[in-house]
Amino acid sequence: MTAKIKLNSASGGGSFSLQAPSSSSNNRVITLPDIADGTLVTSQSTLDATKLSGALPAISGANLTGISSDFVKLSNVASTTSVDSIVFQSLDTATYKAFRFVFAALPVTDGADLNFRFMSGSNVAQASNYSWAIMGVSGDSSHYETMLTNTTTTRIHNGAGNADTEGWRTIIDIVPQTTNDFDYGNNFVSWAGNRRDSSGNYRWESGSSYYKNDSDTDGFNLAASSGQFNKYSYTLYGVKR
Amino acid sequence: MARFKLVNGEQIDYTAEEETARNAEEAAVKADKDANGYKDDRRYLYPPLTDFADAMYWNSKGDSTKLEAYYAACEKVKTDNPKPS
Repeated sequence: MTAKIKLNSASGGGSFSLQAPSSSSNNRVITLPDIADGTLVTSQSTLDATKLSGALPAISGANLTGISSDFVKLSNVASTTSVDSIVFQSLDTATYKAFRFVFAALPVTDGADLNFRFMSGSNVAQASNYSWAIMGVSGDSSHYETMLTNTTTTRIHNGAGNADTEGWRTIIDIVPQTTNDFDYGNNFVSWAGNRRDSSGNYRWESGSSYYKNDSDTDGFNLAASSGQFNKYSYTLYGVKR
Repeated sequence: MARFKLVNGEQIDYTAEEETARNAEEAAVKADKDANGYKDDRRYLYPPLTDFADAMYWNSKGDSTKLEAYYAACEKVKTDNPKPS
């Protein structure tokens, strides 16, 4: 005997059946949702995202498609061991067009500036070819600008205090020059961040720099204008070509 | 003072040449700060130019109160951050 309940449509067309499992050990219970309407999901179904809630089950990354991996985390460090400079050299510029450096640091020397230079292999690019400008906000309706050309370094941010709530917090986008770029096309940097100065005053600053040199570069160097970084944390990302 | 750098996440000592260069650079920065640091200090502290514009407007109407206050604020910034002698 087939244990099945069959509901025929009123028009005599299709039908809907409920049938119990054949094995005596397979007692199954389907509980209908306690709402006005319910929908059973099959492989032919599409899910209405507006009706989903709660935590999704684990999904393997291998099964995901259409997710871009063009923005790649390369390094992540947080340290309270002082260093004089933070250097990245021989970065993979064949794969990555640009690099994003998310950085926070506290200088040892009160009021030190934050400086940047490109690297070519293990050599610091320090010809007098940096042109840079910073625009800053020092108060409601108060701002300041600084611009220098043909210098040996780029100032990313002005002086930061060395107390715990001072220092710099910034995001720097770095675009090195590589062999396939047109002459003098890249070697530029843009950034936006903030600092608290030696008196604890908050300053917002943004800027951009250009290293007018056709040499290929594949790294960068960050240092305080004086003294070490006391504490720092950073994450370096690569942006694919 | 022994100096070191973090290269691709690895701590490396400065070479003697790098240390000499760094010392010279820091000395140059200090000399420049000592001579010109007051300019930056003043720049961040001057009252907003919008206050100056407003003060000029009222001055043109015969009320110099705001303009005098603006000049006094500028004077204080200069006094608090003197040019090195």
